[in-house]
Amino acid sequence: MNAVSQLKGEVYKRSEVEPRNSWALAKTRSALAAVVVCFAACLGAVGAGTAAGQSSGVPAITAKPQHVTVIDGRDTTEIHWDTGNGSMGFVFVTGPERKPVLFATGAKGTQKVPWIRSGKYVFELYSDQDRRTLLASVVVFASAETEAASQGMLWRSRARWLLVLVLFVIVYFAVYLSSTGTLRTTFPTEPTTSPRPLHVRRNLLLGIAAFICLDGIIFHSGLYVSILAPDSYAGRLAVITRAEKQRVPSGLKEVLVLGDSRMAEGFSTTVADELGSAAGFKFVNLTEPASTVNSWYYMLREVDPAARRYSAIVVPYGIGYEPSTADPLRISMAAPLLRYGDCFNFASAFQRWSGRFRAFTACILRGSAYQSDVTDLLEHPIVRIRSVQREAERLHSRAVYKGRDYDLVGTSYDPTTGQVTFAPKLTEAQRAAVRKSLIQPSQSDMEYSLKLQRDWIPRILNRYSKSSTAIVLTPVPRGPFVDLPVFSMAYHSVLPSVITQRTTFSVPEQTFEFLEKPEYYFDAFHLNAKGRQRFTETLVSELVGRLRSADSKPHFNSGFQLAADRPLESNEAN
Amino acid sequence: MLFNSFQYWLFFLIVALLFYSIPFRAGKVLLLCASYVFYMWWDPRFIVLILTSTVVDYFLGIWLEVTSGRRKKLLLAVSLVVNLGILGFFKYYDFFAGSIAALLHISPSSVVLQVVLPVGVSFYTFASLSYTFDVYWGKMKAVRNLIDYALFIAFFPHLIAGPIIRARQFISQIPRWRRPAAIVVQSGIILVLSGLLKKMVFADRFAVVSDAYFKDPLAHPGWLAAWSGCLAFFMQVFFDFSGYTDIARGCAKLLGFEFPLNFARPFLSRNPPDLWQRWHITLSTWVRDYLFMPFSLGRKGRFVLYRNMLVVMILVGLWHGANWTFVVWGAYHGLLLIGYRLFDRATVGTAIDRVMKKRYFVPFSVGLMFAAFVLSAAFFRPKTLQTSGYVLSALFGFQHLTGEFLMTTGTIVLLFTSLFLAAAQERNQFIDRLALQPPRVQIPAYVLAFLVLELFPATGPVPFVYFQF
Repeated sequence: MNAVSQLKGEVYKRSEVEPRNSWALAKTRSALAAVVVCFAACLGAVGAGTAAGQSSGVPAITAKPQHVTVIDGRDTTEIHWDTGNGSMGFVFVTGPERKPVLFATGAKGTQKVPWIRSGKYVFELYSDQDRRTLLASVVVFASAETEAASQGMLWRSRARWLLVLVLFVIVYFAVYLSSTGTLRTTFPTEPTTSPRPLHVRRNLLLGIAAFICLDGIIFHSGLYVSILAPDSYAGRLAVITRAEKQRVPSGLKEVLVLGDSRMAEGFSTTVADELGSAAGFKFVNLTEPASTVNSWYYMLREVDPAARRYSAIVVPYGIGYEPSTADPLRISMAAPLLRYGDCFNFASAFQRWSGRFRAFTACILRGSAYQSDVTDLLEHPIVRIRSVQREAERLHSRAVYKGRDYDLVGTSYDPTTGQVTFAPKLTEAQRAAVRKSLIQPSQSDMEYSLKLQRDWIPRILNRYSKSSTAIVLTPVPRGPFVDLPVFSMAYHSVLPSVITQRTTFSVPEQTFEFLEKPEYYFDAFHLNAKGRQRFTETLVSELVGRLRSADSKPHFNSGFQLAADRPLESNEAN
Repeated sequence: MLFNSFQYWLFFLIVALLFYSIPFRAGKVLLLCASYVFYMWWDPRFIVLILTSTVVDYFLGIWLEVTSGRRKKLLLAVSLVVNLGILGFFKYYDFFAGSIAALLHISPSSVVLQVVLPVGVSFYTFASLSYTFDVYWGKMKAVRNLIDYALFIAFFPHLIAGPIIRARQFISQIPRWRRPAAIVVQSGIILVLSGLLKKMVFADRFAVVSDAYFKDPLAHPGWLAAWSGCLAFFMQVFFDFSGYTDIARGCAKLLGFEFPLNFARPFLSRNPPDLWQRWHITLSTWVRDYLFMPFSLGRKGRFVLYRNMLVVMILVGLWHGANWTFVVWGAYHGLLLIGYRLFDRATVGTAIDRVMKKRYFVPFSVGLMFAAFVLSAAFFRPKTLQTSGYVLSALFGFQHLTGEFLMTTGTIVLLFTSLFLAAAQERNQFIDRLALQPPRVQIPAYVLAFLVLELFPATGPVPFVYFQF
């Protein structure tokens, strides 16, 4: 028989099958059996290797299962350990918000843990009782699940299997209908001739044009923005912007406060209104974690199209960092506020060409900024609808948020060694949050943050240059560990004086230095509830006093333009 | 410069515009220069290898044609030594040196050189070898134009990850080259779009599931997790490589060249030989013509034939990567081929044979073959045989655990959509025939393709799987 067909099965005809040669067949079978046995032995050896690996000098500790779903308050996992060399081992467990305790001892063993509750459990294998030499560790994650949630999960799982079954049936019939009976040996390729003239270029261009139009209808019209996931960064920004746009004016002098997470944790509208209402001021909070100064600019354009809605707008500035890895986040966050005309300005705000390209594309094809959101919507449409319906609840909980109620007193950080000494009262989760916040941003990420502020604060100033709205720049307290290298830069070097001079006034740089203590913080950057109270009080007293005096000098920032910034202004006009 | 990056399309646009604005003779030089630029974009050092292989085989080809006897064999040996030497050193040195060192209980670090694998070396080496063999066997005349030959080796659409082109297929197109007809351009555009969809939407989404599993299979015990991981990996590899091939074929068409088909809906294979007719066709035909055939011709006996099959499939496995897992992967497929042949012979004319020929049984055959191929992911993806063993034990339920179903609803829908589309394409070639459809069909198809590419790609350009081979 043709050797080709032996390998490929081509043109294989039963009639051509040579008569059975029992000897050859037996030989082939025995050879095959030998190969199979060898293969099985090989796998057996592999398996044995796996088992033997644990007692061949490699200390190990494993948990089965490692992810536990706690349904009735507690659940079980099984811990297996082996010191690898037969020496004594000590297994310690650290439960959520608990100190390490001795769990088991022995060179190796298996023990059930029937008391797992919700949280993270770290099982560590030490060679000594004083926990000096760690041999191996494993983390068991346990997540709590209510009866209703577990029922829901069960139904979701059943629905998924039902979907699989239905799809199987469909595919069965599709394959059945597509099969030709005999085995195919040739596969036709693309056509090379056409019976009629084709208009390739015209069709392609029409396709592209129709696609851009469709994207515009769905994503630029606000149709999709109304169903963005309210928990996403983009969704939150869209929700608060929309709510502010629809809010009926209070009749008081309104002061809008912008900012990122530091302002979101530090500024309380409730406290500010209590203090400012006597002087006729109403505070509006548009702070949003992860937002940047360019998104504040677009938010202002959205909520205040005529640039005269507010008495004052508070814009924070300071030392920070903007990692370029967060480009997709910044793009999707600003996307609900973008227009076709923002392409170049928005794209220019990114450090890397890939970011610029994505930003440019997001302005033209807005859908590209909502990729994960669209996938999530299609995968969980009912969850999304429910989530969107709870928009008012979210806004309310945002308004009544009081801040975090723990502090860092007793916690210290040595920037030279990177050593953090935690106060004993801090839980593991709180410690993890502090550790996470103690990042050492690169110089370029810091420079980029400064560049953003230097580029976009003047744009905000330009926007209000002919308006009676006062633009107030305020520093934000830096953190409890002011020795961090990131804070070595002086405030006045963040924004050149030519920019600060153009504002109605700037809150003095030292105003919040008294807050830069561990008692006012819950991590390395964010104020806690106490700090929030003190920061808001100080900021409002500064603002109210100075805005009152500014009232006597109306429009004093109008027409104040710098030659260097004029090109920006022309961009704005565009 | 990945095919799914903006950079590549800017590069392609510039090259295509320049190519069509100059005469073809100059255009060939332009394409060659562009191909070298494209290759050097990955790592400029390795251009030396491709140039060496090109120059050596070009001159050897001419000498092979005019010589005969022992000298001819010697020239062929020189070509094999140069090409396989480059491939062997860069791809397999560390593997074999490390394995031998382990066998002799020598520290692997003392012999392993950490050689960097040049991109696409397996593909252009095979392309180059096919030329030498064809000239040696007198199946084609030696190429007398160095530019033509260099372009055949380095033509950028196939340079990095195939399809593996034969000299006969490509070089014969050069003298007959003419501006592609509208239907060819149309097909090229459709192929490019289809390739981008396969890569960015399908492959990269399945990659999320397979990466989650294979990153640490021990963290996802149970048969369900193992099957989800292996299934997702199989789908990822298919869409990734098939997507790359479609883009390569589409780009070639847009420049007026034809590349052969590399995938023909392997999901629908009914048995192992059928699978290798549909999966990585250019590799399996290359192996058939230049490896299996020469070794099997004139040899009688089924055992020899089956042995050759096994050896060839192990070599196919080794071609994919220098690792014992690939050797076992190849052996597994070899055994599947042999096993199927034995089963087929044993059941011919029986009731089983009659049932299997029924049309209603075809989906079951397809499902069985599908599962057998998915199973091979246990050897293809893990880096060690130990991990393969673990995955295999999970697949067969030896852990007595169900585990997590790692696939999201979206991935499940994507999986069945691909199977359904494969069946539809098998039935009436609807994607290929899209080029002939009127605008009322074509324009909405474009819009749909663009919309899916806009909304559903996994984030960021993910490298193609076959680049590592």
